[in-house]
Amino acid sequence: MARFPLRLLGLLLLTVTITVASCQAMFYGAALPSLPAILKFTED
Amino acid sequence: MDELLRQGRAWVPVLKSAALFLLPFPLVIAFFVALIGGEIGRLAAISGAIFAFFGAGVLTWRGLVAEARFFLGQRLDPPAVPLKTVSAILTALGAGLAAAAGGHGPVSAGAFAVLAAVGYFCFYGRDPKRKRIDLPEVAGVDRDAVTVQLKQAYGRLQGIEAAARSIAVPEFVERLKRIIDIGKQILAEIERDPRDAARARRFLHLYLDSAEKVTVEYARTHRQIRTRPLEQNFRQLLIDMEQTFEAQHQKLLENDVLTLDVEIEVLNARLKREGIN
Repeated sequence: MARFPLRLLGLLLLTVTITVASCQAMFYGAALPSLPAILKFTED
Repeated sequence: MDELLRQGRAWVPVLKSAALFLLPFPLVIAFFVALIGGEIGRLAAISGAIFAFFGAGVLTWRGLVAEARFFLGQRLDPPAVPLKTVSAILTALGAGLAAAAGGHGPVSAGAFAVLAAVGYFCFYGRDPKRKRIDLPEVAGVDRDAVTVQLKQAYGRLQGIEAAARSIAVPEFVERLKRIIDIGKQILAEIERDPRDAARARRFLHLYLDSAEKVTVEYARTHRQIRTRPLEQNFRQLLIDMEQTFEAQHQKLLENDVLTLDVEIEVLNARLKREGIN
C-alpha cells in the first residue's frame, strides 16, 4: 500500500477513535436533550 | 531564511506528534467534570488516559526526531528502546481507558484500543530497524573500530539517499542511486573481510564524507537557484564520484583475487612439501 494513503488512513483512525472516546468520556452522564425536546424548544 | 527553513523542517515531527496532545483535549474537560462530580472511578480512568496520551505524544516526538537524525546519517543507530512501539501501546491504553470512562464495556473499550494502535502504526510507521553488522574475527583488526567506521559510512549513504529525494533532476537521482549502490557493495566487501577497511580508508573517511556534503549542499542550493553551470558542475562531479567509487570497489575485488591466489599458492606448496601432490 502506498505510503500517503496509509498515513491518511492512520490519521483518520486515530482521530476518530481518540475523539469519539474522549467526547463520550466528556459527555458521559450528561442529560442531553432529546430531538423532540429540541424541536419543541425551537417552535416555542 | 535558511535558518527558518531548517527550523521548520526540524519542527515537522513535533507537529505530527501534536495530534496526540490535541485529539484527547475533551478528556481534560471530562477530568474536571468527574472531579467536581466526585466520581473516583471515572476520574482514575480519565487521568490514566490523559497520562497515556501525553506520554505517547512525548515519546513519539522523541522517536520521530531520533528517526529523522538516523535517516539523515546524523546518528549511528536508531533509539535502543523502540519508542514508537511503546507509544502505540500507550495510545491503545489511553483510548481503552477513555472509552471505559465513556461508559463502554471491556469488549468495546478493547476495540477502541486496537483501532487506536492500528491507526498509530499506520500514521507514524514502525520503529526503524538497527543495522546488524557482524564482522568475522580477523587477527590484527580492531572489530569495534571497523564496526563504528561502517556504521558511519552507512549513515553517510543514508544522508546521500535523503538528500537525493529532494533533488528534482531525474538524471542526478539516477546517478546518485548508482553511487549509493556501489557504496553499499564496498561496505558489504568490508563487512565480509574487515581487513579491507584499511585499504578503503580514503573511501570511508574522505570520499563518502565529501560526497555526502556536496550532495546535501546541492540539494539545498538548487531549490533556490538553478543555473546551467551549477548543474553541469554537479553532473561532472557525479560522474567522477561514480568512477572513483567503482575503482575503489574493483580494487577491493582485485585484492580478494590476489589474496585467493596467494592462499592457493601456499596450500599448493604445502601439499607438495607433504608429498600429497
